[in-house]
Amino acid sequence: MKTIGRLTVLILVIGLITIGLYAFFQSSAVQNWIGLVANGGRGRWAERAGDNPLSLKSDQDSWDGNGQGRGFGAGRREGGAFGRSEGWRGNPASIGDNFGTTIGWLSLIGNLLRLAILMAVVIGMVKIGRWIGKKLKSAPQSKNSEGQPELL
Amino acid sequence: MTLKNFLLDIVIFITALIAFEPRLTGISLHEWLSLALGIVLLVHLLWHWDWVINVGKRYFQRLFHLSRFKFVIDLLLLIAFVLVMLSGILISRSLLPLVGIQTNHHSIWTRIHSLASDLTFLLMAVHLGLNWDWIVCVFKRYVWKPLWSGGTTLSNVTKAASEACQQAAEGSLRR
Repeated sequence: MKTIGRLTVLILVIGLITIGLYAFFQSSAVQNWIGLVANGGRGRWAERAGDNPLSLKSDQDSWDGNGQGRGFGAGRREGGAFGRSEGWRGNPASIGDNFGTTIGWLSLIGNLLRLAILMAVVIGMVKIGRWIGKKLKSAPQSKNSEGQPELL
Repeated sequence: MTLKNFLLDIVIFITALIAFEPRLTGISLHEWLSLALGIVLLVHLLWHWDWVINVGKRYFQRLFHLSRFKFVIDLLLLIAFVLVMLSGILISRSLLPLVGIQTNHHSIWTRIHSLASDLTFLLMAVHLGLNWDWIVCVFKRYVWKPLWSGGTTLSNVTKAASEACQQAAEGSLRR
């Protein structure tokens, strides 16, 4: 019973976060602010911005169009026209459905290395923070012991 | 409970690492794996419910403490992960088309999915780094020591020992 209650609360909280995030990123003001609408209205993402991301199957043709614009940026990665990088993972829209590609394994190793480096930095900072905390706590105590007169 | 947590965390870690790499799995497996990861993370949150409530209730009583920083990072990680899931669903090429909903994978949500996953990766690294003491402690008690003591069974690890691992690493529930 307790678990069901907690699960309900969690799902409600996650639902609220989801709605908030969706509303936040669908707003054109936010999209302009974070630069998702590029080149003053030119380009593929500018056309798509604010559009309904979901559609029923019958609406598919309206997205595919008549092929115009597909030549735009031909031979380049999607989004490349804006000069933006898609991050180290590449553009999700250009990824196929093959399992176990060489580039996939190499990327996984790369991710592990990045993770290890980031973790090492965080662990180092935590240890330094703890060391500083110990020094600050022990400093007033050492002053007291030095001020004590010797007993004869 | 500590051992169960540890095993679940290993599953989450491996699943997340693989799910973060759609070029390895392909899109279909990536989407199904991410969905499974979301469900497993719900269990992870449920198992750490007490910590969340305890730290949250007494958050401002001792502001400059590592547990408070962990709380903020975990909250940001939750938000980032929800954003990854939301954007992933909105550009889904495998799951949603199964129920007849077509998505636009050229929408802004593709870009948001990329950015959010990078952010989630970064926050996951910070989360792991902050909980490193606990990871090492549990690994030593449940994996390293049993191996070195000639195959001692896990049932020989006392309840007190497992609780000591939990409290040594977190140590903030009573503060």
